[in-house]
Amino acid sequence: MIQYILRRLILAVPVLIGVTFIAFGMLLATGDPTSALAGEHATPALRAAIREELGLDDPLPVQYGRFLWRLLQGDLGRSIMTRSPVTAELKLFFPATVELALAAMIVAVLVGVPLGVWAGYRHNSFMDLGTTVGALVGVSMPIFWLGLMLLWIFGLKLNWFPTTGRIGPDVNLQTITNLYIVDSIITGNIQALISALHHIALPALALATIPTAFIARITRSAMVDVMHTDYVRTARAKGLVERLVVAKHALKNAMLPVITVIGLQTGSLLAGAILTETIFAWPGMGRWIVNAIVSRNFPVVQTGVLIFALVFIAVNLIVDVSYGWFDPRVRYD
Amino acid sequence: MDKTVREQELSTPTHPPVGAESGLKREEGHSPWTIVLRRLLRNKLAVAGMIIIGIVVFVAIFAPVLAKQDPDRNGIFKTYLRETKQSPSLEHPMGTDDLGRDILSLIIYGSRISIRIGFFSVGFAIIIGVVLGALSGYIGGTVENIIMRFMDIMLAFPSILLALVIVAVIGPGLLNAMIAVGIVSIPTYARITRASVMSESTREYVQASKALGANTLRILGQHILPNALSPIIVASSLGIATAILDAAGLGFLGLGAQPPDPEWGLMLSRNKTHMFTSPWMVIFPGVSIMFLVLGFNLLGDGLRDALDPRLARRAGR
Repeated sequence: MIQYILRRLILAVPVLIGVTFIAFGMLLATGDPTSALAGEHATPALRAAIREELGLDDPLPVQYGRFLWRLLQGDLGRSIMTRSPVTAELKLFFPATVELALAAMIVAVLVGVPLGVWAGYRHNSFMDLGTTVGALVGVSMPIFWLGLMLLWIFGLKLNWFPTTGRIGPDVNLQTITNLYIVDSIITGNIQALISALHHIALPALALATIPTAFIARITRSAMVDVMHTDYVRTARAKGLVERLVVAKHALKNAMLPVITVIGLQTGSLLAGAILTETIFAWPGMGRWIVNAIVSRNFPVVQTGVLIFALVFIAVNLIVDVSYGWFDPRVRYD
Repeated sequence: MDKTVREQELSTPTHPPVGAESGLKREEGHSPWTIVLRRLLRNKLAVAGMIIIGIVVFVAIFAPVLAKQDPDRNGIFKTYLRETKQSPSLEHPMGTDDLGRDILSLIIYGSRISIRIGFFSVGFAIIIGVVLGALSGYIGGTVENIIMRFMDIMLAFPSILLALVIVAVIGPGLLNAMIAVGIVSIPTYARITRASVMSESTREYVQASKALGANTLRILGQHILPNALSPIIVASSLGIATAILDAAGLGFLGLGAQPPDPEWGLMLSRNKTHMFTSPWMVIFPGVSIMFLVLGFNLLGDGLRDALDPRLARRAGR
């Protein structure tokens, strides 16, 4: 098992190096960075000074080596817009996205798995068809449009939920992890907890739609599969109550593909966060990166790309490793 | 953004070629493709998908006939400032926008852009993906390693993020957005093709054809690639859906189509400030995107079931 994890980690190294290549190459491909830093009308002397400072006149391998070295030391450069270190901004924005993505994933699992189990169990019923079509519509929905609709109906028409930000402006919260829900629980701050949950509801709901649809679909087909197996027939034959047949025998075996999808959907959550955060003015990584791309703030874009890829690779690894726990027949050799 | 799931289902090297090992009986006198078409027509959801796509393609082709207002030679729609923000009526079934333009007409012309995005991006991805996949599967060794590791790196990014980065580098615009969305889906087709090439090239008929002196291109084109066709067709239908969604997302972020193009994502983004006074300005472009994407998703699902009965059985159809 540990050997398997180690081998997977080693295999991830070339991919990670490739990702740093892309992040590094991005800056080169966009032309003269001195224009981005000092403006189009910078004097040649100023440009030369900047080139000197950033070491842009060195050979490319040297520049790449320096980039990598700084990266390993956690130095991601400074934001061109705010002049503050990128790592400081990252500490603020990354937890916001993690919180949103986790909330969305919890919603998706809580809704998607029961729906899929029900539809798969009552295979070919009206409910089953409804779930199948509903899931297809969910997958086809532009998330930015759904977000706008939720904002309009529940935020502005009904006025049930706040429409922007992570927490009310009048709420005081001592931040530790920068995950506001976690922080408010740690500090026992009920008012902050309510406010944070209230703020996250709409964006999490919007972001959860696509993963919910996928999880429901896969759970359904896994359930259909499992309900026709011999061990389910045996369980029934020995007189087990139906509830236990589903809960103990069917569900656990149907979970393997579901786990895969949950893992793979993390990618779509990160992608969805880019659009969702823009709509709900959620101060997270997605909005940060989009703003950085629009303003050609490349140190930020580089960091965002690296972090997203890193999370993506890590989640895939966790998914692969978790197979063994759900299905002991899976061998890691 | 969801292609990875499907890809796993699609790129299994054991994917059977059309008609092989799948219970399709040749003796009925029908070609495997006729049988696939019949299966497809029996699937109500797939037929619904084909009808949806048919409607949108029809609308796109006959836009000048169907639309009440037409753009001028530069693609600019005339503004009617006396008729701004009218709610839906018989005269303007989807209402008018803040410049008095008929939203239905804009959406009709927008369908042309979305269809183009779908077919262009996926066509682009298929051409490059198939070539890369065939090369790496057939030549193997270092070439394969380099190509496939590069594909792995691309798959390490959420697709819309990679598309965003590509657009950030090559600049915003409709064509660039289409290229970006296309590049992002290259790995899907490369993997499918490579898997087929690898599973087929050891088969006896390929060996026989080699022994008879057929050259590499002929073996690939005549024997191996046709076997990759069915998974590629399924992937491309689902891929078109994803491409349209991603490109609309780029348009929404201001990095895809640029004004005055009536692209649906861009329309949503420019109309969203009027959402509270005139919701129809936002509702209809979104519904249009969903409608077309749903069509390709339904068709893709149906195709998968029709082409691979093992999966269909698993899905209980």
